[in-house]
Amino acid sequence: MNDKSNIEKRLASAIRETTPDILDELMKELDTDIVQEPALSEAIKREVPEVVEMKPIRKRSWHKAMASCAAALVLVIGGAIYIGTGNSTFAVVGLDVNPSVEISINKKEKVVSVDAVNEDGEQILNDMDLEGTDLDVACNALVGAMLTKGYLTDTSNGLLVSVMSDNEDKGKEIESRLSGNLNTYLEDSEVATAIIGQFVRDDADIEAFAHENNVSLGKAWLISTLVNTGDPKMTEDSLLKLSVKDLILLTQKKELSDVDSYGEADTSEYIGNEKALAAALEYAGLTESQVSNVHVSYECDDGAIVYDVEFNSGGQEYEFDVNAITGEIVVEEIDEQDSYDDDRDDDDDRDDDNDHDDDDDDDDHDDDD
Amino acid sequence: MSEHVTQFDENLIIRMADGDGNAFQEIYQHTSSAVYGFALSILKNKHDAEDVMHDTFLKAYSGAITYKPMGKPLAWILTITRNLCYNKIRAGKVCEEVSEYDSFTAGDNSDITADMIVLEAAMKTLAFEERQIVILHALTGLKHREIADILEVPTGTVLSKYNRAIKKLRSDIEGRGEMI
Repeated sequence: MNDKSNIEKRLASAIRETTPDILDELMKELDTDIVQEPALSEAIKREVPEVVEMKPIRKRSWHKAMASCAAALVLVIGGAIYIGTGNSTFAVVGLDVNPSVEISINKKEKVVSVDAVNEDGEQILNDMDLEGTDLDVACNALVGAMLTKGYLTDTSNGLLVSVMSDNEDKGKEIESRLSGNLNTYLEDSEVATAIIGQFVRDDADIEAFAHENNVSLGKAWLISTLVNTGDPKMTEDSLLKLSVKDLILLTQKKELSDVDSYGEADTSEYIGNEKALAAALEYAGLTESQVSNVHVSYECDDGAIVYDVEFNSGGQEYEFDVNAITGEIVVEEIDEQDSYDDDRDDDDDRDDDNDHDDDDDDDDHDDDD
Repeated sequence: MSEHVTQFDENLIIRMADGDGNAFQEIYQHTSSAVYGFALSILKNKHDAEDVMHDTFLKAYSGAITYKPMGKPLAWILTITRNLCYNKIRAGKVCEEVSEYDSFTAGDNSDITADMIVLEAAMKTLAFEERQIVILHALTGLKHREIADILEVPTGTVLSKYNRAIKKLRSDIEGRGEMI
């Protein structure tokens, strides 16, 4: 035997000798998954298969969805081994890329049912049997399918994770853990994914909005969160036209605090801050040296991502919306620069700007309320 | 027994995806040393390597449902290991290097085997990638091209680093007056 293979042989032997034996520990951690779960899902399938078949969830409120799932399961497995420990739907977890699916889970975080919210969601669920599996396993499988079926790509790299539950503390805990786990899972994939995780409260208006517009509750909630930032351009109608990835892009750029955020939404299809500024300068007939207080940010205008480009020059305030794909100027505003530097908290009631235009209808009325 | 027992039938992963505990055990038995050794070669720390080993198998179990059969089940598992190691490094969760391998031959440790001396030499004298390449080659019998795929480096790099690493090891071991 040559010395090369002898060195390798001894090296391999030393590592084998020192490899810790953690099989028992692992088997304990996986115990329920390995032994009990298949038995449970087999039992469900065998006895009353129609109860667990896919049904679109969005025609019902999620509260009703929870109640009916619970009732169905009691029918199916009433009296069977597994159930005494709480088998009603405890939370609903939404995954949105463009395919949207909603996973109902019980208190032990086992999947009770999975529903497609749109047609792409049905493509994802196609042939997948996730009933009885752990929530994390089911989410990995669903997100894995979104990757392999080409929904989650380098340019469409946004994943929205929404958790709805009556138990807010536990719901938030699940959301936060799941978002982190999915992030770790996706770090192993080839697609650098941006994830927003959010807890969704029970809200009849948002539920109605989701229903009317045929979007998932998670997407509806995120849109309402963006509308509530008070940014006048963030209107429901405009945001509804955006992809999940672009909603995530805006959420990340606005640095909303009430969500968990991982990765960065892809902007490679967009022209970038510098080109947007250049387009605005060219339009205004100015050069970079002639302007100050330059500010460029992502915004939404009429259902498209735009760059909001602002700067001052020659006593004027300029503001442009530049289409993020084409570089076209879609909105322009030029105002006299406020000599008080926008000190809106002055204590007289007089309108202290000398605007020539018709902006008087946007007074703030919330000062004293 | 074959010298390289780490390759295994990818159907085991498919069975594991269905929750088959026996398949999980078989995969563990085939690959645990390769997973541990590979993690050790990246992290240089037994404790962290064991952590990663643990997480690798949990992750392989939960991710089995997404495995695409391409005849590379071992590479799939080792890629999980590698990513977990890098996650750990990125997150700054790697223990300070404690030079645990210095102690093997220091003083009068009489229970140190000749094999351990080779492992110690690998830990101390080899560069980061050299160590991974030699350990993967020794433990798995993967071809240089397959190792290159896992490490995401060109095959030529693996070949030249492998040869250099073996030379370094030989001279280090001989320098200790050990027989090879």
